[in-house]
Amino acid sequence: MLVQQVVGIFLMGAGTLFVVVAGLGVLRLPDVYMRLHASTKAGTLGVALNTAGLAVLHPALGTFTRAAALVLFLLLTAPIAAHMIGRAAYFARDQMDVTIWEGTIVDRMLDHRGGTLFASRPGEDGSSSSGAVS
Amino acid sequence: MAALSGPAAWFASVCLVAVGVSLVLTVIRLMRGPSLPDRVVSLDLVAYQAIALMLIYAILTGEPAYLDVSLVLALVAFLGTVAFARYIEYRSLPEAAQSSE
Repeated sequence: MLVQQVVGIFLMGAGTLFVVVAGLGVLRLPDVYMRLHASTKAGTLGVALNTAGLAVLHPALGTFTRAAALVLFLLLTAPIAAHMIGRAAYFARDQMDVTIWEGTIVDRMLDHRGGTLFASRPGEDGSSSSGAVS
Repeated sequence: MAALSGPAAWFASVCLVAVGVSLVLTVIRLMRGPSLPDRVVSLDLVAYQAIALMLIYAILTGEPAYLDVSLVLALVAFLGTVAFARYIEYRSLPEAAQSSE
């Protein structure tokens, strides 16, 4: 009983720490992409650790199942959402006034898409614009 | 499903307050964010922090029913983020493509 409580409380404390770091990073980092990095990775890990703490402290079959479903769903959707926002913020940076940190020294997407492809994109939804060019 | 008591409950309350403080930090970024993608990112994190808040409260009170609520909130937050990302990317298209679609 005591070991179970200690492990559960430790997991909950670690998850809280990661969530706090995510909030701090979103407030303090200078750039959309860095904020995305802080929010996605630290936020997902923090919520997953909190869920593990709940499953350890209140062991039941229903709790285990729902906790596993929540963590699995989170690990499945968080990278997709982050990728979509990052991609949209990159392609719409002129329209949305997205600025980049002044210390940035390389833009790998610029090498891949080339100048002409980005300028003369046809009227599609943009899903094939970056993957087609090698 | 017993509620926590003693030092464990005290620590859980401290965790609750810490996540609340980080929620306030994220809302500051949400209001201040210079561009729309900044606001979408912080809104996503606000949903995660609400989930963390509910999970810690579920640990504190011994009510695993909050787990269902956080599952639904994760689903809705993902859908909202995807919708915003689609909207932002749609705005990046040329004007002619926007009107024809």
